[in-house]
Amino acid sequence: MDKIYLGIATAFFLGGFIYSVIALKNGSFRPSRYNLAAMLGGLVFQTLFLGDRGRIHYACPVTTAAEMFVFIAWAMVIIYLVLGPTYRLSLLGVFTSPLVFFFQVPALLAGFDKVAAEAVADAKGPTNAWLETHIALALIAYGAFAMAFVAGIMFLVQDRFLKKGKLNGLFFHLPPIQNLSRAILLLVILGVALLAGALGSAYAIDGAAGTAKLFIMHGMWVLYAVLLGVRFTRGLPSAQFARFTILAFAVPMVSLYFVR
Amino acid sequence: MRVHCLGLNYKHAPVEIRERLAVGEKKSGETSAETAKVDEIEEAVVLSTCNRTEFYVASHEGESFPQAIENHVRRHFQLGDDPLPFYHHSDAEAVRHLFHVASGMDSMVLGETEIFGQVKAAYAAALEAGATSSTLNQLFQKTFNVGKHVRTHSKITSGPTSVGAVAVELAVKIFGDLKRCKVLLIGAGEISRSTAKSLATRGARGIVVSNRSFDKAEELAGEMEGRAIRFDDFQSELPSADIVIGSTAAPHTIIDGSHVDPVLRKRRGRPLFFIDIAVPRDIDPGVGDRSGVYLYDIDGLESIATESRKKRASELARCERLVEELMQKHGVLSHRTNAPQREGTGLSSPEPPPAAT
Repeated sequence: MDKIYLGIATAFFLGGFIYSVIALKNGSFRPSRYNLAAMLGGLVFQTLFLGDRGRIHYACPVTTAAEMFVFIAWAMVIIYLVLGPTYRLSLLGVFTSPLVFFFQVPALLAGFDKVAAEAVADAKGPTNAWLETHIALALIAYGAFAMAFVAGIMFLVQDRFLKKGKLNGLFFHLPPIQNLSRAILLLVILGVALLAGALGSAYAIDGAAGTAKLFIMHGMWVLYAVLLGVRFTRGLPSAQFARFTILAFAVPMVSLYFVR
Repeated sequence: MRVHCLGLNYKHAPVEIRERLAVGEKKSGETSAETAKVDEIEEAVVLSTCNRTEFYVASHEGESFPQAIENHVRRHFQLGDDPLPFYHHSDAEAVRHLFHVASGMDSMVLGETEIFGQVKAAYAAALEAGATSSTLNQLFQKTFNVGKHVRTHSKITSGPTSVGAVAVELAVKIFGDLKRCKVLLIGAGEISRSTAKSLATRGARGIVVSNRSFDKAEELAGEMEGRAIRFDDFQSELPSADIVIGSTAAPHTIIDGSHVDPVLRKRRGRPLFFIDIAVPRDIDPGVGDRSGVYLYDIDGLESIATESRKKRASELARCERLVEELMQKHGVLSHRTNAPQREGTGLSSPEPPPAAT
């Protein structure tokens, strides 16, 4: 059943994205309607999938790379639904859905062996609350960085339109550049704060200190924290901050390979 | 019941003629009611804007009727026998014309949205004055649906079409809410005045005017509830300004990188929008290369407005198709014909038409 849930969720995100692209091309895009419905529908089935996997594992469903990707995608959708209306970022969903789709497709193709997962869960023994907290916070932080990456792309697209004076259909649907700038900043702050929580909880886990995984996560935290520091202390221009946020996202993506 | 439209508009009637037929907002209902009292006219709505005056009437009368309405209009406005470029439409043509008008397809600035509100206001005034009944009530309700449909399903309203509108659109796309935006006017020319007014109508506050003639600066600042400063003091206002409009007659640039760079450092990433409508230009073009600075000169603004106008014009055919589809849907015969017009409007009549003799 879990694979069906994931398949339906993925179809929702793909459908929402295709609809939005066609509507934007035809000039009939209306924010907060079908795209929002697709994101909500996708979220429901993502949640059902993660709930199903959680029941199998008796723990946070992030035991494989595939599950981690789905969990990050789930965090991204939730952040979008919270952040989008606040900053009038209706088009953020259009930019988010393809990334969520590409996160979920490998998970869908990888498949999920229920019997093996149950056997691993039985062998693992009781769940460790600190470990669960660490993983959940870290992956939601990854979701925040992913959304900062998406908002960064939107910022640079809108910045280019404004610099070149090209006012096409997409320009009118993209949010104001200052709203995007604030959203990127907020997302990076959120990601840094969540990652700090994840690192803090890691020290409560026996044997976690000094591992390569934790070293990589520290490096990532420092990278984003420095980025924030430069932004606040040296007044790093918004376009450069957006560019660095996009580039910095390569670090969490690569780190997933090591921390999975 | 048949529907007729008699009117004149900006296409053929210059302002000297249009002003003779202008009906003020307060007189609109009264004029509609007076028209509805004319023999053989059952219902009437008078639409009068700066670009047109049109009489929409419902009547059982047919071919000779447009002349009867024209006679009434000539009497009402004391126009005598002066040759005037009136047009008249009957039945489906009249309905089609009203649909086009309400959709902004017949407007001077194609796709402008103000006309929709003006049609609504004209109808509301006529309704309140008791000048309408079943036929025009139905027609105007359908007109509002058609107007909304055409705007929603086409790009006829897309893009700003004047320098002021372009400036506002860009400012909104840079800052979002303009209520926290401070506008600095350097020079008090007519275009900068109208641009600043456009920004103020969208919420921009704290308008500061700097001009070589301080009296003129004070006058403009007073008009906009802003503040006037001496011309030499404009640089001290730059760090706190979000939108800077340059329109001086200076023979060389008055703002360059050396003025902007320290300002940008103080702004900590907050964007800066320069609108340079002066010729020769007031702002060095190199300023626009800086991150977080958006600079537009008069040519840049004009080309965006021209592009939008072209885009709207290219939408006209699609809008006409939409109107024809809706005329079919609403049961209004849609084939185009000039005269004689025999087709009905498809609108129900509260009473049967008189028997043919």
